[in-house]
Amino acid sequence: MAVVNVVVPEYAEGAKSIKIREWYVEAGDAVTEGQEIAEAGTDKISIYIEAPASGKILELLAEPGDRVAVGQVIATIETE
Amino acid sequence: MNAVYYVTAPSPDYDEDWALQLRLHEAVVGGRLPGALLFQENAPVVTLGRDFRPSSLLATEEELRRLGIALRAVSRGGDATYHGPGVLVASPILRFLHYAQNAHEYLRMLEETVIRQCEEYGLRCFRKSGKSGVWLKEGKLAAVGVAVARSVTMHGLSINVRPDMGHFAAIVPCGLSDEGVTSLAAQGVDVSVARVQADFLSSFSEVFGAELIPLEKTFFE
Repeated sequence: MAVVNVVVPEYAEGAKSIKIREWYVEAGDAVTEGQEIAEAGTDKISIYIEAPASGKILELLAEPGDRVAVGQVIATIETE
Repeated sequence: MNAVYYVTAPSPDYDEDWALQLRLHEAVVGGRLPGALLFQENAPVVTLGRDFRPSSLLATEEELRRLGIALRAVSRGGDATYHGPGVLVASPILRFLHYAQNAHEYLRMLEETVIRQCEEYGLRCFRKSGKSGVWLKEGKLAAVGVAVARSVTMHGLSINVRPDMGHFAAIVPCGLSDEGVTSLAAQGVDVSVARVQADFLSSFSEVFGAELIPLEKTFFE
């Protein structure tokens, strides 16, 4: 068992502000690698964030509306 | 040089074009296409991006219907915009990190494509600090708004070639109440949407360093 971090992708660098718009999952949900689990946004750009690994969502670490930074951990996934 | 396959949506129906865009996105994500560029010229439609504020919609749904303007919530970033006859919508579906260091540089490259192409029409377009898009003194000529899913872009930009400018009165374009909207026709540039599309392809090829190839009609068969 290991814990994998979900981070705000580096390609959002350069944005004045990045906000979490919506979570598609909640703590305890099973996810598969590549599954879209959240939407974040910057001015003019919607960013669909995928699960980096299959497993179970352990914790969501940002709320919709929260400002987040590139590289910030916004959720954790417990893998088998 | 990266190859990008371009296609003109055969239908003016926004929903059909969106379905086509999703299929192209799937093809690029799955590696069946290295990149795609979808052009569309839609029947009148107001699209509401993910940053839509209700104050940006000035007409009721009923009023829009009476004007023959459809209303759609869409997945791109940004606020409200209008597409219709005389508006060219260009949606690059790309692994954008092959071309740009980050998503914002990619947006600037989209703007640059239009700025360079407009030089050919004798127009000196510019960017405005803090306000995406391509501008002239009289207002915004092209709006941008994109989405990134599985590292591949969707949506893109719309260029006002010769739309019914009255239709923009239904919205506060991009939520910018203190700014106007303009078009190539309003600037005295007498060009067709087809010509603007052809010029966009040349400019896009130059800015992105991409080889543009028409997508075979049989690709999805």
